[in-house]
Amino acid sequence: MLLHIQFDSETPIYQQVKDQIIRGIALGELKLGEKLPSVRQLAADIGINLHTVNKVYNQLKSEGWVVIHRKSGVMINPHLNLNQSSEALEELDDLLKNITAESFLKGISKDEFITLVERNYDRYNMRESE
Amino acid sequence: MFPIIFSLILLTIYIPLILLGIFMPAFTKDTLLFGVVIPEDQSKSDKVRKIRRDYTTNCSLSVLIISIMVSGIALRYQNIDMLLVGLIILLITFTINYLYVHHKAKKLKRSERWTDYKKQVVVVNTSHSFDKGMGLTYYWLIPVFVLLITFITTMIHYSDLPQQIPYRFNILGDPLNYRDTGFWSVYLIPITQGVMTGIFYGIYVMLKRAKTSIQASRPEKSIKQNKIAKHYWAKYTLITNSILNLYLMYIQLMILAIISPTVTANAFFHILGVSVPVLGAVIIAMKTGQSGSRIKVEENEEMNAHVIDKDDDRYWKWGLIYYNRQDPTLFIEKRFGVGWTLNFGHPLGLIALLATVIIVIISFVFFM
Repeated sequence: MLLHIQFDSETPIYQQVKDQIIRGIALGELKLGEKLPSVRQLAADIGINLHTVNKVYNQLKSEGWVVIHRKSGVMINPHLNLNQSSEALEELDDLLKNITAESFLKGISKDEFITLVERNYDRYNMRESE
Repeated sequence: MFPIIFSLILLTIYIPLILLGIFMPAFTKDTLLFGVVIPEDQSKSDKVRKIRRDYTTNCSLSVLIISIMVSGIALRYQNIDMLLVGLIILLITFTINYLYVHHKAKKLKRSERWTDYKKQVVVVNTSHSFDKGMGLTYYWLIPVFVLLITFITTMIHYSDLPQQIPYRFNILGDPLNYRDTGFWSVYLIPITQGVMTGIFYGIYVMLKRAKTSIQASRPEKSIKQNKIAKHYWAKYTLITNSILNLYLMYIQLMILAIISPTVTANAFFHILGVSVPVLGAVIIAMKTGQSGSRIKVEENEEMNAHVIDKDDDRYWKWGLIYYNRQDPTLFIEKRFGVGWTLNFGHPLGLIALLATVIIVIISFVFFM
């Protein structure tokens, strides 16, 4: 999978990497159980500090997206739990409050918003590793 | 003898060097203009073209004048050393010409404000697939095998050697000089083979690990080109190492008086040992260009005109020396020309630089 890191963006680099990896899993561009580059390798490829990549991997790990083995390195969690938790819906509601409010004020209609959500959802297709 | 050496140096060193120097912009990828990051869609614009043209004109003129002067002096005084001094003068001339256009490119970039209108993007591939289907690792047994044969043969024959052994031969294979038989004089060649194999294998490992430079405006295409170019260079290190080891083995067998050389065999091994490393590098550089930019690949990828490669010009002093302490990369592709360089902001990069300087100084003191 290709990560596109934008350097002059307002979104911090660690956030961009994290978001894109999560999206990569949902889109099936990253398979469950697929290996990710080591901290050193990814930091070198992007040209950023080791700590930044460490932060990304640790957050992804604590949120359950990846597993980190001391020997085999970092990989996408092969047993991703798709069952909804009660907090997930609450967190989503919180996030949506900001996003919908901003969209509403920018003149995006409810239908347009829902179409966009549907279009994204339709593309999600998680893949198991072969 | 002088005219032969003179024309040999002219043909094998001067002319290739001058041609490579003058045509260097043609080997460079579209997103770099003399060490400065530019957007791909500006690469063919008039202002950019003018800078490239300036370089070619200035370079051709100054280099031509200097070469004529240098060879004139060398011919007049029948002095080969003058040609070698001339090489240094040529390299300085190229550098001055480069620096002149490098600053022009920087100025143009600032006045056109390209970085203000485009997003600076770095594209990274999460799957490193260098070895997939094309691992060369086992083939490294070939140079190791040649080295072992040389070593074992030397060991077997060591006790039978005379008081003195030859160590230099003329083109006909007759010994020129002799020296006393001893551990160092006998094992010099196998040791050299060992060190060389280590260095070449090190370069191969470096190639495998080196950062893939992905062009943000055409990521898929540049990944493919980069991979092919890397494979060319990986094969080059392997083949060159094998041939040099073979060449040294041939010389060692002559020293041990196991084979008596013929002129044909001599010519064959000398030409092989010199031409493959030099011509191989020139041919691959011409074929691949910088990060494989000259390799044609089938990829119908549309150029993304909204992005520019990350603007890291400030980490590249004169577009030549990379110093970035934030970047854990050790090996990085050069900005101008074909090949790799070190990150001198990395502790190991600095150590390598110091070691090189120390070795140069020691060898000067030692051989003067």
